[in-house]
Amino acid sequence: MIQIHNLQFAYQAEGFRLRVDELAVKQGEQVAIVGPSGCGKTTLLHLMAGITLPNSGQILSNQTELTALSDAARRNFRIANIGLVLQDFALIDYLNVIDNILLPYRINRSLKLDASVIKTAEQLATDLGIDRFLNQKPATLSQGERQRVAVCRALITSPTLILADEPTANLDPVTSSWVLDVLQKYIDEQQATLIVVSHDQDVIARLNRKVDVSAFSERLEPAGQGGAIE
Amino acid sequence: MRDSLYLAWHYVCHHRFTTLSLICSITLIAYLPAALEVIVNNAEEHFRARASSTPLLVGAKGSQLELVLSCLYFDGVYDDTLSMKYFQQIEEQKLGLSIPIHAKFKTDEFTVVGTTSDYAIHQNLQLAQGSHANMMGECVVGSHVAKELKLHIGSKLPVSSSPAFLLTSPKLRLKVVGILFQTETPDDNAILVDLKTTWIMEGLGHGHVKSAPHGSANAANYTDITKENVNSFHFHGDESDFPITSILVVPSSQKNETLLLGQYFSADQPAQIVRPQEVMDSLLEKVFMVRSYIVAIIAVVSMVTLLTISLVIVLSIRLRQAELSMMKKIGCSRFTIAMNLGCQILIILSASVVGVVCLTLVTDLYGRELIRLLIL
Repeated sequence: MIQIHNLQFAYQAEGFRLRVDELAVKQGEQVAIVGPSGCGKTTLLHLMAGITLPNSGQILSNQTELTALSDAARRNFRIANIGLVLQDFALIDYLNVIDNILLPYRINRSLKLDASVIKTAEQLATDLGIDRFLNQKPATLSQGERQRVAVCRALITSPTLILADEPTANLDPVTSSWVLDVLQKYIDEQQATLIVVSHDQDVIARLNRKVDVSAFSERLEPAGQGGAIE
Repeated sequence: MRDSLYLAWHYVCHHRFTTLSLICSITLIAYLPAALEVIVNNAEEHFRARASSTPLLVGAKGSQLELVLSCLYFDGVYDDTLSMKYFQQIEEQKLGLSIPIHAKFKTDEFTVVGTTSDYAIHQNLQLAQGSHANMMGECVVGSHVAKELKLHIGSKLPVSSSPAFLLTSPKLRLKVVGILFQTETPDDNAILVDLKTTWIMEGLGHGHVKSAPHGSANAANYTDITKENVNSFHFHGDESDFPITSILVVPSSQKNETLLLGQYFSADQPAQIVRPQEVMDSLLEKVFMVRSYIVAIIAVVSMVTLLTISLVIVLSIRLRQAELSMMKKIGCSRFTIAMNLGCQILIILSASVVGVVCLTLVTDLYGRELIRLLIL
């Protein structure tokens, strides 16, 4: 599903360097990316998503070489194939729940919003127990409910790869476990791949595999310019 | 574009107070110069129309502007008078239409205009109710006078008169016999009477009227001219010496106009002849000069306001960094983000344009009324 060869990436201004000679994540795998703060976990996730480009090396996602794609093609690939769950949920305060879930269809023309997509969104909301909030704004929801909306938004395009950055960091243990249940159920049903950045040992323990990013990164003396960022 | 508009619409609806503030600010910035233009154009048209309908105005020597304003627009009082012999001379020469005007007296801020029946024909005044004044002591009032003083046909209107008259006779009460249609001209604020009525107000004529019974406040203080007593009113002296404030003249030809202008050219001549349009042009030139200063001030204020609005927009974009960053991470292009923001600005600008157009139309629609209330 994900293959990384000879990847090198640096934030030269911050003296940070990430080097991954080989890393492969198979389809259906559930991987925890771990490591101390500032070691490059989120950076690696962004590289896998094609949000950030490496200085050198190859990243293949579902047999597509991300580094060879144009900006537009990479965005279109990402929105159609990758579901992103962010730590701070990043819901839009001026849209109601259903519009937040459908957001990917309103910001990229490669996706077409039609009645079947809306039906899927409603079904996802029902599955995640937030169907009664569809017309409410995020501000009226609890933290757990907001994260469920964020999960729905990540799953609405039926992605084959879920990248989650600290998805349970702001949640209580019960809600945290519930969100992970939902993600794992999706992965099992769709034979998708789950990669989670987390510090939470309970979350890490529930995943198949652990990748420690501190083995790939190093901090140097800060110098000149930053690395290549999209 | 549809999705960008959808997102932008929800954004502006969610932040409705900020949006409304921006719309109001932009609307006002654009509306002020537009309104100024409309009002000044209306006023200009209004003033010029009145002035151009009367090619020449004869009056006692003095300020030309005061003469035109008091005798044509009934604004202020022109105390210097001419004798009727000037009117009679113009009449005898048969150089065109001439109408005597006596506009010295005011009651409740409305001018009592003594004139002849030719005035109503010249100004194209139409009666909404009643008839024209056929007798001394009768009056026809403009629509605004009738509305303000709550007058109707048959109402009695007490009028101020000269101090000399006050010493010798009770005040005169005019009988309202006609109410004019609204003309949006100074005639709306005029009380039209026969010239002789103003001479009675001057104390140049009087009637032998029995005193009213004691205890009747109205009758004790005012004199009514009625069908029964009108014949007892008479004037002392030669009518050609009686005062008028001006003569409206519409020469029948260019040659006659030149002849008339030549007659008042002499420096020792106590009368003057003016072209009201030239006098008003000169006044309006000054108004336009003031307008250009106001426009300059508005332009500076607008620039400052626009800079403030730009700052508000830039700050709001900075506050939305988390949202915009999330959109980019998911797969939104910079162009789409710019289009979303552009649509928000488009909605605000469109609403402002609609606001400006509506306000300007309303100003244009009620501009004349506004000018009448503010100026006339």
